[in-house]
Amino acid sequence: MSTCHNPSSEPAAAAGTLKVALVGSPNVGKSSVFHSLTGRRVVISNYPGTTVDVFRGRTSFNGHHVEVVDTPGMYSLHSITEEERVARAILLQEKPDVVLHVVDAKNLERMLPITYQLIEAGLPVILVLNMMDETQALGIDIDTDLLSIELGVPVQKTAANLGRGINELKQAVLNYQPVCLNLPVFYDNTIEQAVAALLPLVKNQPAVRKLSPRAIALLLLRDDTQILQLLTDDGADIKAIEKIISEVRASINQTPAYLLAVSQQRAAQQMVRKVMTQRADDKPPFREKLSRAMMHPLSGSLILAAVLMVMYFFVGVFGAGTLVGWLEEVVFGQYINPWLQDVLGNLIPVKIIADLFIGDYGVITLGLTYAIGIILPIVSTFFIIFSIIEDSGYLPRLAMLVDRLFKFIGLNGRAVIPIVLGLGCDTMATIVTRTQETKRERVITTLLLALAIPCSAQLGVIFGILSVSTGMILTWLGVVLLVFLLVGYLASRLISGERASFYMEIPPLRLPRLANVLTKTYARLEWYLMEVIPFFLLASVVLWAGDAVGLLDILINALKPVIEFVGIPAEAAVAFIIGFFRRDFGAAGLYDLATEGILFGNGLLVSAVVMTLFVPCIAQFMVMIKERGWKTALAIAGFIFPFAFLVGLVLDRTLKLLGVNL
Amino acid sequence: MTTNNETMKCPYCGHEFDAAAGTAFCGSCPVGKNCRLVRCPNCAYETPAESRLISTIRKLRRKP
Repeated sequence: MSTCHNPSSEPAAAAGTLKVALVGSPNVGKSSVFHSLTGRRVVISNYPGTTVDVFRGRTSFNGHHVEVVDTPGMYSLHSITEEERVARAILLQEKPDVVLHVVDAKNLERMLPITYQLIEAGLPVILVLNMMDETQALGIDIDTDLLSIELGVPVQKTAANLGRGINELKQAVLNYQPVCLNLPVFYDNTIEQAVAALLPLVKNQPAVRKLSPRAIALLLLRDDTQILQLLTDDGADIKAIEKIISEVRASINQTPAYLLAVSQQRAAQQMVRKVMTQRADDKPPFREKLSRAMMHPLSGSLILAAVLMVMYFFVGVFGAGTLVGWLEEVVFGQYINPWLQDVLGNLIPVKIIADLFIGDYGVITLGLTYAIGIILPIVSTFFIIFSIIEDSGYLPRLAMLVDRLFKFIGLNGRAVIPIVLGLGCDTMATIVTRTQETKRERVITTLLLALAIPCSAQLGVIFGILSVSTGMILTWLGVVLLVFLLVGYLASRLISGERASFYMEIPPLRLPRLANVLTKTYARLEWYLMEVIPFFLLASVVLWAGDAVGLLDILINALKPVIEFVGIPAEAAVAFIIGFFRRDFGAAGLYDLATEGILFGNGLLVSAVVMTLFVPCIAQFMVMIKERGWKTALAIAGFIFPFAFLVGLVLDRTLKLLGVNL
Repeated sequence: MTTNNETMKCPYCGHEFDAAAGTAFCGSCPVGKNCRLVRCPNCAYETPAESRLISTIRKLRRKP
């Protein structure tokens, strides 16, 4: 089978201004190639109707006028993100004379599937093996002549950051001649039969003039709604198309998208075996070995455990133990609060007004003490360690590690982004669930964020509360993880919908720079304090008012029997009520009770578990409504509230049954 | 994180982008007013923008 790349048979350079489009995944040096080709004469503008930036440059190659367009990063021709949609729209609508597919040569295997898709689409492709300097430094050789013959497209080596291979690339663009090529991948028989059945239905449609009919058929099998819409607008026989697609789906266990991805990956593996060689004397460097170890299920889990352990000692023991002990007990407890209570107590004779500042729920004694005395040192230590983890490049490797685990709960590594973000702030993370490919994934991720992902401040305080015992923190971690997996698994079985696949580029591991870590920590703290302090002060006022009119007592008395039934001391009722305002505020309340000696042992552990699983804070709940709609948001909150207490009850009774006293 | 005042490097996926382009979703967020997080247009990961204080110090240090 073959596909023709351009009906004309003249070199691309012969016809007026040449339009060259750069495509490729993020982090392949596409911008370096672009700047090398254009000499930085660049116009940046939003792509119409989007917020995505598109870089364009006009230049000349040996006297020929050339326009170069740098498209946003894409992992597949099947568009998921707005950037991928824009990249595809440029290929579809602007019909470039030459498409330069820029790849990171040292990761050729991961890059080739898009090359296959571009060739299948009938686009005039030149494969640009960029980062050849790094590839050669790793002892990797690539037989470009053989690769070019196998793919049927020109292949050029470059090291764009050093300016190497750019002149040869310019010449290759000028010399580009459309040819008929072999198709790179043959798929599963079911897929090929479906493609054959779809071809007559799509090949005379206007949309197909821009992409090959085979590519259109394959995109339809990937459930590409944008392509389906284009064909609908063109008046294609959509019912017949949908019938073929649903028949394919019914006849295979996996989704067609999965089968296509597997076939392309297999073809890429075979190709790399043919064209790539690694010199025997060049062992992979330590950084590469470490990177692989981080993504391996066994060694990766051990590394993750070590990271969590470091976090526990730094945030839980040092931050929440040493620093909070000093700030809350000494600075606020012995100096600031007694002094202010003395001064304001004398200045304001009316007790109820004085209480607004220095009472049980006073803006100073509760709001500021919690925000500065408890939360600030904990989040500071957490942000420091989180910035180190971020800057090292560990997070994307963690995503790859947990991809398998997430598949168990109907998600994939893409869901790691909102989940990891949730450890910072669940509100933002709920918005980020938009990047999930399917509605089903968005709902499951939103549910798990609201249920089992504590935000940074809450996580820090929980670490702090439980740092009295390693057994306690391990039990808490085990219970929350179990709930995360169990609820995720059940939700993935109950919520119907398509499963999605996951592709991701892994940036190199880096040694974090101290200045960067401190700058980021400072920026995060500034952001956090600006958000949290007004909120804590407002919550204190609301609690003070509730206390003054007796409403708080009614709420506390209503909640007391519930929390006592699950094994939590009645005094913790206030902490759970203020947990409605913000989870970290509630956790800080538990911390206060723990330092006062009221909350300890099993009750402390059960409180921490219930508080972690407890209903989302007001801001997160509002975002859930906005993103998922009233019904889903209420259903999630309605499930979480009793479920959190149920888990607490089961944990309490299990500990009692086993005779465990922590 | 920040390579200069305009460009940022995403700590998650390594994508370099214009910091001004990283605020596309913020209109939907109830805590957006005080938020100084910038969202990577490639993977949607959020990272704090450089603090004004740090930017000022950096600018002062650049001056001869």
